Amino acid sequence: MSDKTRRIALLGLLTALCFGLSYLELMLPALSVGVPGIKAGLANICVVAALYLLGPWEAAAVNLARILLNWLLFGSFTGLLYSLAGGALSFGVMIVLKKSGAFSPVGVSAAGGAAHNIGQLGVAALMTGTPALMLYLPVLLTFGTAAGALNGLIFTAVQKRIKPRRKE
Amino acid sequence: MKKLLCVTVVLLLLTGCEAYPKRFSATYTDVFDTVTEFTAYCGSEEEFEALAGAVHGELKRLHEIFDIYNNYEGLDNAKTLNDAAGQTVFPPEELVGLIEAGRDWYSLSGGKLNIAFGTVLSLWHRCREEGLLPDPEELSERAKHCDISLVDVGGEGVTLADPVMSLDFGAIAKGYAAQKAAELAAGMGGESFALSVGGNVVTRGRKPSGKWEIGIQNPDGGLLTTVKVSGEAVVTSGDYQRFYEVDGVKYHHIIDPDTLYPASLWRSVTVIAENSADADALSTSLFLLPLEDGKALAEKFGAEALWVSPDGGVVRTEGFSGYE
Amino acid sequence: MNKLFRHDLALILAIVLTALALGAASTLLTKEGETVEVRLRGELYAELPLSRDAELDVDGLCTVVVKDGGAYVRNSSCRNKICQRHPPISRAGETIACLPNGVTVRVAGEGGADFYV
Repeated sequence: MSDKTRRIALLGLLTALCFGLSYLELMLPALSVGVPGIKAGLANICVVAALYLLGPWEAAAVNLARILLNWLLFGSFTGLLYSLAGGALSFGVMIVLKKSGAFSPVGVSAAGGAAHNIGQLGVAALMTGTPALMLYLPVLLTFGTAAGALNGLIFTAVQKRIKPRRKE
Repeated sequence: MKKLLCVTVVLLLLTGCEAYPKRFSATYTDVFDTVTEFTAYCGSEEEFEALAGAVHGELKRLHEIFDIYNNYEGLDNAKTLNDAAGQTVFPPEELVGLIEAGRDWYSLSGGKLNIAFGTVLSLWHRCREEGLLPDPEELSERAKHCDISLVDVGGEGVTLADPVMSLDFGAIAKGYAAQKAAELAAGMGGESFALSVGGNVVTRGRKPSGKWEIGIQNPDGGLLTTVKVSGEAVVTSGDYQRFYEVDGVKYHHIIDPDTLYPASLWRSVTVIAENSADADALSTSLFLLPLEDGKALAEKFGAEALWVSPDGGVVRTEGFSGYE
Repeated sequence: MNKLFRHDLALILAIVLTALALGAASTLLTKEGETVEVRLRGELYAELPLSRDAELDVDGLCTVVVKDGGAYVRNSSCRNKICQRHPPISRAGETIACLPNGVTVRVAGEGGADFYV
């Protein structure tokens, strides 16, 4: 298998997995606390994975596919705008932190989670004309960071196990 | 990969260019002797001003037509009709329509909601202004002139066949007007707004953050519950809304036509219905009717209701909690 | 890896601390932020914080009193005095009106219901 084919296959695999995880999270209400905006965001594992295994643009593609597919299947248009804003900000932060080389996937993913919530809430406050929405930021920030760190940990664990196989 | 990059960038940029609707509010105190609040989500202040101006204008127009206290130049309104009892008057079609709706509600409510009760209500109104109690004999004397079958609507003309009789639209006019004003605003392209004419709330669409939230007051103060609606009308009739005290006893504004005194079956009744005119008439009717009759009436309109009894107990129709 | 892990921890800690600081700041700020808007014939006449007891004379028409976090109307020159009998208001969106004088007192701010009936 050529390197290019392998990368494309992996990209498709991650996108599919990402979508599967979104669905799984939807099926397991126990993962959400019932507060809007707070969720584990397991699908972000795939975005982090794409970022580390493939590269920034591939990760952007997975992220965009995740957001669009989610919107088409279960979402509202306003929800899409919130997710796009959150996704874009989180993505920018993750790329910068990864490039710095000072952080492991856990830190990168945690900061990404926090940035996602900042972007999401910022757009929501702007769109609804209610700056008071930003009052939720502290809570969302804490949970977003925790969820991001969790995703980073899962990715690190998975990466350790799949690495030997990747080197044929 | 370059293509993908372009698509991503364009999509992200697009999200930044949307005209985000903002929340605007206006308050008016010059229509229907109550507080009117109009709240809408609009792209710009100009858009809101146009919408609010139209709503205010329509409410003012209807207020003048249904007004029983003031005359207006060149308008044959409810006061003209009352003053000319015995003669035929040709009022605007809105007034004829409201009279016809009033006659329907008389039979629907088993005679409890009577727009021909003006003689009795005006006595209570005067007594409330002066802080006195009405003379029981005068009350029953006036009650003899409340026969709604003597209101003749023929062609476009209206005749009050009893020359002493007068009409009072207090129980249905606000809901009707709120409905008309909301329809006007929706016709102008308003997609997300709520209008409250003295507690007659009409909603359209939803807020960007969810449904419209209407707090239902506890008659003794505080909040009883909150209902969430998008498109429905919510109206409460309560003994705490308009009342006065004589010798420490409270007398409120909803008069039972059978006793000629303020009704005491309930402290308040809240109705959720598709149409604000129905909701307004329903809430007054239910306030005057026993529970079972009220339930049957609400069901006819597919409306939900919540009753607060004098001992503070709360009764709901089955579907009401679906809005809480 | 160990060094990266230390950096991670520091980063996460920094974010959480920022969140906590923001939370503390916002709770302190919102308590100050609750106000009542007094309007005369639709025009904003005054804004009063609910956190501080105060009395405001509205053009000689009535007095708006803020006491213990609630606002009510006193000494109204109107005839029916409906406004004076209204219990104190404190939740966002709650309104007291004196129609004859065209005075409305409304608790400003987000949260709470859109209307109260």
